[in-house]
Formats: sequence, C-alpha cells, structure tokens
Amino acid sequence: MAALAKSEVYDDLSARERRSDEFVSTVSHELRTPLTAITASLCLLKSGGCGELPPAAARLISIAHSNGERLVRLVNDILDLEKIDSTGHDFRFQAVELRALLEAAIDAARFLGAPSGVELRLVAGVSAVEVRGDPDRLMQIMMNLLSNAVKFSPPHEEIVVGVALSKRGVRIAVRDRGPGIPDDFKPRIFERFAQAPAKDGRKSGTGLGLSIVREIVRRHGGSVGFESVAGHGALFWFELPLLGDVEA
Amino acid sequence: MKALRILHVDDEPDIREIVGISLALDPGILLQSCDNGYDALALAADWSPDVVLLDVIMPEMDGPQTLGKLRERSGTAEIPVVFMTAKAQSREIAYFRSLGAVGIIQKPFDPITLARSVRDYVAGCASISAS
Repeated sequence: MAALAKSEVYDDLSARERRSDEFVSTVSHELRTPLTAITASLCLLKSGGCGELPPAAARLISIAHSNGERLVRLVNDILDLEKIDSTGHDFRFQAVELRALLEAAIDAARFLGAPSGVELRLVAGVSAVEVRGDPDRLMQIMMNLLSNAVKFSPPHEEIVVGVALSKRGVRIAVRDRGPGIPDDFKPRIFERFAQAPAKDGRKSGTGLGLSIVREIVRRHGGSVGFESVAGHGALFWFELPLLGDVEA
Repeated sequence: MKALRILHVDDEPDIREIVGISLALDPGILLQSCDNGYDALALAADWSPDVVLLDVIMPEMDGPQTLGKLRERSGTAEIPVVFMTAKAQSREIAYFRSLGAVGIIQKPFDPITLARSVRDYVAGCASISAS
C-alpha cells in the first residue's frame, strides 16, 4: 500500500466534516489514554497477575473494572454518534449478502449468550438477498440488537433472528423472550441515553445503542421499529431496500 | 527459545509502566522502553529490537514521523512497527497502515492478551518475508 500524505486522508471532507473528524480524533485520544491506564490496571489486578486479592478487594476491583469498561463503551458510542451525525463519509457502501452477514453476527454474538445458556438461531425466509450497505455498520446494528436481546433474555431461552422479504425490501428481526418493553418506556426507546430499568437496578449499557441503530438504518435508507407486549418478549426489526435480484 | 525483543515508545509514563507489566506476563519477552521518538531511533539502532511498539501522539516527533525516520536508516529500516493508538477512526487506521505499520493495537488494549497480539503481528510479518 502506498503511503498516504496526511492531507490526502482529509481531502474529500468538507470543512464541517473535517472539524468533526478532528474533534472526534482529539477527544478520542484525550479520553482513551487515561481510560487505558485505568481499565488495563484494573484488568491486571482482577486477573490475579499481580497477586491474590482479599475477597472484598477483589469484588471492588471487579466493580471498578466493569464500570471502567462501561465508560469505554460510552465514549465509543458518543464519538460514534457524533461521527454519524456530522459526516456521511465514514460509510463504505457496497453490495452485501445479508444472510452471510447475519450468520457472522450470530456467530460473533454467541459468546454473549453462552454464560447464561441463551442460544441464538437464524430463521431465513430467503436463501440469498443483497442490499447496498456498509458491512461494518450493518454488523454494528446486529451486535447492538443481539447484545440487547441477550441482556434481557431469561437463562436458557432462545433468541431468533429472522430475515424475510417485505414491501419495502427486506426485513431483519431479532426476537427475545425477555420481560418485554414497559409501556411508559416505549415512546423514548430510541432516544439518546434512554435505558429501560434493569432487573437488578444496575445500568450496564450506555443508552445509546438503539439511537445508533436508528441512525445507521436511516443512513441506509431504511426504517426501524419494534413490537412488544409487556411480559412477552420484544421483537426489534429494521428494513433495508434491496440491491438486486432475490432468490426466494 | 529466543526471546522476543520489544522496544516500546510512549510519552505517557503510566502507559509505559502498564505495558511493561502486561508484557512481563510473557517470560519470553525482553522489553526496553523510552518516552520519545529521538530516543527510540537511538535505541532501535543500538539494540536491534524484533519489533517496535510505537505510540502515535507524542510531542516533537510523533509516531508516524518516528516510523519514517526508522525507515530512512539502513540499520532500522526493516524493523516491524506496531502502532498503539487511542485514535481509532477507520480513516486514521487506513493512514497508519499506509505508512507501513504491520499492526495496530487500539487503546484501551487488553493487558492479558497484549503479548499474544504483538507475537501474532511479528509472526505474520515473518511469514510474509519468508514467502
């Protein structure tokens, strides 16, 4: 690969996009550097690499580490939203075979469900379907929806990912058998920093995952929504325009 | 087995210390570290590390400039360089790769798997050279 001049990296950006790019880059560095020191130190302590800790100290280190990781996710999500809001250039659109992408997403998400015995399964109503999309961003949508589904699934339940043709193109859905979405939370579910109350009262997410999903889907010319009856699980779906021919 | 010699360059003393502790989990690694690009050039020439772990944002001479200087000098031109960076935008990653870095480790990194990641990058680099 030929070396790029730094100016070449930014040549195709407008002034506004360049400012946003530099803001994200600078904030990323200034926040991630101390976070690296914090989370890596706690990780080393937690792993026992620096010696055995008394149980109470180990518990406190574990709490500090999980909150440090939550802060890392929050920084990542905030910076990601800033980029999505202010630039369109970070999306690399190409033809994407959806079924292969969904299978890869499910494979990548299995480790999330493994500790609680939650299984993930693909039910495809089409054998092959292509959309015009950014594969990394589409994977990000799926990982956000699947991690949410795992978070709210009871142990040893199944999460089903469905893909089928729809009037507007193709619909991808993720269904869980969790507690469902409380009625009073539904109007705010895609708002930034909105979080449904967790069973144990602890917030583990950033409250930005579904906002990111909505923005990415919008950039793909699609739509997003959900269905849920309290106590009977939730189904999140998004629709994308088709790229070309479909084998039914 | 021959030890893997790693030169780590970062202007943040806390990060240097944590990288030192992390890499010490692998007994087959020898580490030297410094806090700027000028010292890195001198150490790379004197010590001939198997790989340089290089921070991107440093005062005076940053990571990309240091990599450029390493490549200009015959004694250090072939040493593989892995960037460690808190900059993680796809545009930036593409830029770092275009400069000839054999790998990029993003901060925050996993201290438990850091040594493995560096070894994998060095092994990948060696297999390309051999083919």
